[in-house]
Amino acid sequence: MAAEDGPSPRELRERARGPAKTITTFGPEAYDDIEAALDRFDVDVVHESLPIPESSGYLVVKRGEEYLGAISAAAFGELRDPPAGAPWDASTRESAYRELVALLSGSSFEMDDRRRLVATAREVEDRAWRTGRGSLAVTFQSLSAFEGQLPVYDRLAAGTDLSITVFGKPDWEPPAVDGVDIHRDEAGALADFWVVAFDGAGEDEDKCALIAEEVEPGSYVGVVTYDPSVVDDVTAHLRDVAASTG
Amino acid sequence: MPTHDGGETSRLLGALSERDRRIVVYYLREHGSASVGTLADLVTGWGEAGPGPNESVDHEDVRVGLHHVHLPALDAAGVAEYDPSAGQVTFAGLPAAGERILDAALNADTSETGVDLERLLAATGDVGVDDGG
Repeated sequence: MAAEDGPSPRELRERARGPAKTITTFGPEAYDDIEAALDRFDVDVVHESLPIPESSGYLVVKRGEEYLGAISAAAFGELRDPPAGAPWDASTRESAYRELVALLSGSSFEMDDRRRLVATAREVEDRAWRTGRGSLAVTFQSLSAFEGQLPVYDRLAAGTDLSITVFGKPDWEPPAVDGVDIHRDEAGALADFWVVAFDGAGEDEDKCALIAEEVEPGSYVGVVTYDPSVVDDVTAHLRDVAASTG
Repeated sequence: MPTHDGGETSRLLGALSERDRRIVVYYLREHGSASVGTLADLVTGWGEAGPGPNESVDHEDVRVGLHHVHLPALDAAGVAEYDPSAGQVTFAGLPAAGERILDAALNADTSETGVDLERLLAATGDVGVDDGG
C-alpha cells in the first residue's frame, strides 16, 4: 500500500464536510419533482409558499445565516436530469446542476447513478478546463471506466496546458494520450475511490476536488470541496500513490 | 383605524412603488408574519432567480434596505407592523381596494409583459410616504 503518511481519501472526504446547508424553495407548491435530486445531498429542504407561477419559482441555498445563491425553477429540469456532456459544452457549463453542485460544496452526497456522478465531477473538470493549466488528477477505480471518458480527457489534454494524471486498476489498456499520465493501480490503493482533484495551478481560490467512495457496489458517498488544504492533501496523496505505482 | 379615502390609497400606492416592498407584501399576505432574515432571502432570491428580469443581488444590501427603508415605509403606510428590535414583521391587512391593487401588481410582477409598475405606482402615490431613513 502506498501513501500511508498523509490523511486517506476517506479522512479527507470527512474533513471536506462543512456546516449544514439549507435549501428553501419559493413557489406556489412544493417542488416534489426535484426532491429526489436535492435529497441526494445532506441538506435540509424547506418550502415557503408564494403566489407566483410555478415556473417563476426559485430556490435559495444558505449555510446557517449566510446566503449563498439562488436557482430559478425554470432550470429545475436540469437538477432532475443533469447534463453530463463535456466540460466545455455550454449546456454542461451553464447548467443549473453545476451551479447547485458548487452551492452545495462541503455537503455530503449519496449517489447510485453513474451519470449523475459524472455530471457532479464536471464542476471540477470545468474549472480545470477554464484555468487551462495546473494539475488535474482523476481516479477511475478501473481503467475500463476511463474508456468512456477518453474523448473528454483527450481534448482536455490537447486543448490546455493541464498536466493530467489518471489512476485505475489495469483492467483495460488505454492508448497513449499526449498530456495524460496513466498509473496502473495494481495494488488497488484507490479502488474504492472516485477522486477528481484540480490543484488550481497553485491558486487557492481555483482549487477544487470531488472525493467519492464506493460504499457498496454502484453506490457512492462523496463531497465536492473548495477547501484548499483538503485539495492540497488529496493531491499529495495521489502524488504518493503515483510515485509508488510508476 | 384609518379611513380608506383617496389619501390612504395614494399612500398605499406610494408604499408599493418599490418592488422589494411588493415582494414582502406578497409573502406577508400569504404567511401573516416573517423575520427580516426570511424576507431578505425571499427578496434576494427573487431578484437573482425569481419572476421578471434577474440580476446579481447582494443579500446584505437587501437586508439593510429592508430594515432601514422598505419595512419602515410599509409600517408608515399601515400595511405592516415592523418591530426592528425583534426583527419581526407582521401583516396589518389591506383595504379592499388595496387587495385589488396588490393582485394587479402581482400579475404585472410575474408576467412577461414588462409593465413599468414602479413608474405607474410612484406617479399615482405621490403623497405622504415616509421612506424612513
